[in-house]
Formats: sequence, C-alpha cells, structure tokens
Amino acid sequence: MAALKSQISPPEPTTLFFDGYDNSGKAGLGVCSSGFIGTLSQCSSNGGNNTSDDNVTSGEMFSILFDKVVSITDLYFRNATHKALNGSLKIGDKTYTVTNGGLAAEVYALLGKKSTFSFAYTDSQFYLSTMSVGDGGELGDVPLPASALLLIAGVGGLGAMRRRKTKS
Amino acid sequence: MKYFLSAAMAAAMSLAVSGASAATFDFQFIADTYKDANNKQEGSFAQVYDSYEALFDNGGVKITDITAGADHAFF
Repeated sequence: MAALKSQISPPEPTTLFFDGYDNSGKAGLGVCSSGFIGTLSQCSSNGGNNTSDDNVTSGEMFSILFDKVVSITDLYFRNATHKALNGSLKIGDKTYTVTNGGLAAEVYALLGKKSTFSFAYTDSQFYLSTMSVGDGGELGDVPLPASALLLIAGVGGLGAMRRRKTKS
Repeated sequence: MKYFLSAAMAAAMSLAVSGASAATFDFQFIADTYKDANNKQEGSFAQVYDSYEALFDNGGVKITDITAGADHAFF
C-alpha cells in the first residue's frame, strides 16, 4: 500500500486492489485509482507503474457483496503505514471510529444484517486486512420457530420410542 | 442409545436451520497467495477472483463481488 496519493492526475476509474506492499507481508483490500487498466499489475506508487496508491483515500470507497445476508462480527483495518488504523471511516451511511484496527465490540451489532456492506474514506487512509461475518439468517430474523419444530419432532420421537418399548 | 441419537439429530438439524455459520476472510492471505503465484505482482479484484474464487467462499458464506464505486471500469 502506498503512503500517499498523487494529486497530479485527474479523477480516473477506480479498481479494487489486493497488495502486499514491497513484499513486506502486509496486504489487504484497497482501491486503486488507475488509468492503466490494460496493463494493470502494480498500483502502489513505490515501484509500481501507476502514480496512484492502493489505499482507500479521499473520495474512494468499496462495497463487498455476499451471496446471502450476513452480519459483520469483526473487522481489521490498517493505515497507510500498515499499522493498525486509528481514525474513522464510513460503513454504509454512518461514520464509525476505528481504534487499534477495529470497531468497539458493541458497534458490530449496529451495522445490521445485509448482503452488501460499503466502506468509504472519511479522514484516514485505510485498507481492509480481515473481515469476519456470521450468517445473518436469509430466511429472516426468526429462524427459531423452524428450530423449535425440529426439536419438538425429536422429543416426539423419543416419546414414541419409549411407548413402543413399554408395550413390548 | 436410540434416545440419544434422536435427540442429537434434532439438535443438529436445529442448528443447521438456524444458520449458525460464520466465516473469516483474510484479505492479506488472499493478496499474498496471489502475489506468490504471480511474480509478486499486485492484482485487481477481478484478477484475484478469477484465480482464487475458492478463497472467497468460506464457512458457508461467499463473497460474490467487490466493487469500487459507480465509476469503476475493471469489473
């Protein structure tokens, strides 16, 4: 991930980038504002063929689409120098504070259950290193009745077997 | 034994229906995997997804796309 975004070029199409900066071992999901679509293979300004960077910077965002409704249970962001992010960013239409790379534990529940989550710059360059999600329950928020029915069926089976055993 | 099996089956099916799956997506691992196989070259989402779609399918949850705004041109 490059440290700074060049300001010399006009706005260009953006591209999501996975980068391990200078083979340092730190990598993640960011955004590359790129004019080199045809030969795109490096995005970082340091050693790349592009004057852009691959962090999420001013005006940039990305959205992750899942095949089902999920809830986010953990996130880890790094800053432009690959350290744990301390700053803020937008998730959906709300701004959240990030401390030591993640959100406060109680905040994850506020993000809701969705099949698409978007992340946008507010005041700190960042990239996403890891993300954990839980199944949000595609059938809705009330899977309990179905579970309860199965449980009742199981208990019923127990009763039936006991009855059969008693008869014999 | 039969009782135990019946109860265990009900519990397992109950878990399955309530959808208790979870997944962690390690984007650093995905990036490193791609770079290791491609001369340390960086990769766009489209390039990485083409090669390693399975890494985006984890614990019963799959990432089907990642976009970077209305003006992106690479997806």
